[in-house]
Amino acid sequence: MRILLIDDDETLIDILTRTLQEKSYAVDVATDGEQGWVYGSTYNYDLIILDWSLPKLDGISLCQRFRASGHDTPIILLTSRDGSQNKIRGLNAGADDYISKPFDVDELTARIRALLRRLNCDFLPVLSWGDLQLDPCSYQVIYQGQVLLLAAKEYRLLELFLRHAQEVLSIEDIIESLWSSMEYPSNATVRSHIRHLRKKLCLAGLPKDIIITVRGQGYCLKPLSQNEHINDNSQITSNPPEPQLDKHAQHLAALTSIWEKHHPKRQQQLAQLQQAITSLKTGSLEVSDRISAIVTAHSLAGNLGQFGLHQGSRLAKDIEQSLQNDPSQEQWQTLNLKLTELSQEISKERDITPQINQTILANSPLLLIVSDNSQLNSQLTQAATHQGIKTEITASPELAKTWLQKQQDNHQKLPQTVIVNLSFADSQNALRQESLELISELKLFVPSIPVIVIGDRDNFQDRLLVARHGGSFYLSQPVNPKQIITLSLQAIQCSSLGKKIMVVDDDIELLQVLPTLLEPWKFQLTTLDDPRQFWDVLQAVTPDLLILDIEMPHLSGIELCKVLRTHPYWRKLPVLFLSIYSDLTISNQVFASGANDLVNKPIIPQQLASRIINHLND
Amino acid sequence: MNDKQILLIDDEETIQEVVQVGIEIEAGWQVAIASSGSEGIDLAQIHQPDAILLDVMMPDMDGISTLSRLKANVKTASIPVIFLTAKTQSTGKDQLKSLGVVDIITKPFNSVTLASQIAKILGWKM
Repeated sequence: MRILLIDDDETLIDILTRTLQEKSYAVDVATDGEQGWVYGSTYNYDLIILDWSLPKLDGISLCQRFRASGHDTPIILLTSRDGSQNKIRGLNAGADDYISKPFDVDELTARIRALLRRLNCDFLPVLSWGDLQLDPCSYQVIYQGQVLLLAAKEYRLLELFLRHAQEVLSIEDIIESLWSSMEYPSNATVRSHIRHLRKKLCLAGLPKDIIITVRGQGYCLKPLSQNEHINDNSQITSNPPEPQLDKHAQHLAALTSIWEKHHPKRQQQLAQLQQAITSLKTGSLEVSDRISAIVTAHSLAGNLGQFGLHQGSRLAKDIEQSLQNDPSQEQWQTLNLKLTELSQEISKERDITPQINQTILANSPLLLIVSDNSQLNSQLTQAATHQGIKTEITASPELAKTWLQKQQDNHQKLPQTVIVNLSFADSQNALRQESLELISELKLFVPSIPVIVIGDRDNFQDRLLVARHGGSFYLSQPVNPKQIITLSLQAIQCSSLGKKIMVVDDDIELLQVLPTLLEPWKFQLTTLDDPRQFWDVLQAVTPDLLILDIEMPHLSGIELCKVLRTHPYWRKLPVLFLSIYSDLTISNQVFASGANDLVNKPIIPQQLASRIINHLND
Repeated sequence: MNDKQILLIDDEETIQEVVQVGIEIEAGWQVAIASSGSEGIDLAQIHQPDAILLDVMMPDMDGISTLSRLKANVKTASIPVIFLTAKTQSTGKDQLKSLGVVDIITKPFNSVTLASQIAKILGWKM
């Protein structure tokens, strides 16, 4: 929807433009009556907001001029002149509505909607396409009960397509409807917005081709099929919507689809390289063709690397390099061999999904599963992959220990969580003991690795045994693999990695040594020795937890904590005090100021880290 | 934090799509795409994105020329630019950084962590 605002009050223009744009209207502004006439008589607007008092030509005269020349665009007149006589004058001049200044912006937008609804019979309150519904009043888009989050331009694009469901809209039509006349978006920008919208609709479960490209003409909404009409009328109970895919699965599916989509292009690039090599063989490779082949090889190398086909990427780079060095005629054979190998590498990856999965999981958290139950392992792996977690499986505690040892020796990645499948019911005492030892060892890692134990029975003694060995969770069978992975995810998210800790202490030596002491936990530490800078640093750092010394010059930790608790935002920030005193009075003062914990100096790193992690996870 | 807009300037359609998918799915930010340096300069002026991802090696106008034009234009000079560059690029990282980009992301990149990488570089919360 496009609105022309004719007003000379800059503050009002600023407020109204922003508000209307937020409500997804495209707004043009004219600051005097004559300019308003030029805009209003040149472009098509859905509505005009017109101020009464304007330089050059007043609002009433302009309104009369619009009506006299046959313009029937709805007009809302804005004025500071109150009273029914003025209102009548405004409406007699041809305005459709009248609003007195000062006015509530929300009232104005409500009147705009009401006016458009009243004057335009086609203006339905809710626009729909099958189960997809767009409500212009609430600016909400819903598909099968699920709210779609669309950016402003995507929302307006969808609204435009729904309002013109039977029409093919050219890029020019779209620009004219969605952008103000002061904006000059390129065709690529419009296409980019359409691509975004299509993708979001597709991810929500709508057909891929809901917005059809009509070659050479533009875009249109796909006509509803009979099936979708039936769903729309709710005559037949439709199947429940597919659960929304998690991010990882969405990502994987999107990348796989990009790979498949560009298959013809890769074939074309291979053919182009083949052509260049054939020309080299016959001594007829022109410079321009060689340069073009270099660009092709470069593009292939980049794209293959992006999809994790490193061997293919390396071969394409070799070809690029050789072509850059102006190869002699004799070198065609070497190049040809490399190209054959490259073609084979590409054709190997008919099903790219596992390869992409491996690539995108490269930096993902790692879960070690210690279990000899292959069915459970496979279910856990599947559920973990869906959550973007990599898995490593070892069939016994002994193999797990060997694997962990190797990871440490090679400085490779240790798992963030371990799942141990443990049997208490059968008589294999040795295996159970090995598992419990493994749990104890994992507890000793710095930082310790949380262990989720899946037991085959629910028994207090078993729980006690697992807890004594340091197990973090005990789940008894039967248990859903998805629940186990959700718990693993929680354990991973509870990790100290990157958590922002701010320490305020006047003991500079302690501040210097603290980062080293807490290094294994990978906190993000900010230290401050002058409490007078506390507030500024706090706002800049926005820590996840605060550590305060009790006694400091100028301001004590207790005072800082009291100040902190007066602020609504910082009321719940975990605060941990460091103290050289074990005095009960001081301890009471600390907790009365709103502290969460008190740790005595000298600091024991393991103990301080555990207390920090406990409060971070509260 | 899903109101950020990134402008990607890269001539490779595959990379355009991978970046778009990665950033939109993982961070929910909008990605505007330009296939050439000149189109990128136009879009940067119109969209005023929060950051620009700029490919170094492009035909016609390469990333370095595009960057200098973005920096010379008062409307785009303050938009942070991150270079996208292949590992094998002959121009060194330090040399590229000295041109006025905030950082460099090397191709191939992990599309899952791309948004968090950008957020980290620019000090954005995710």
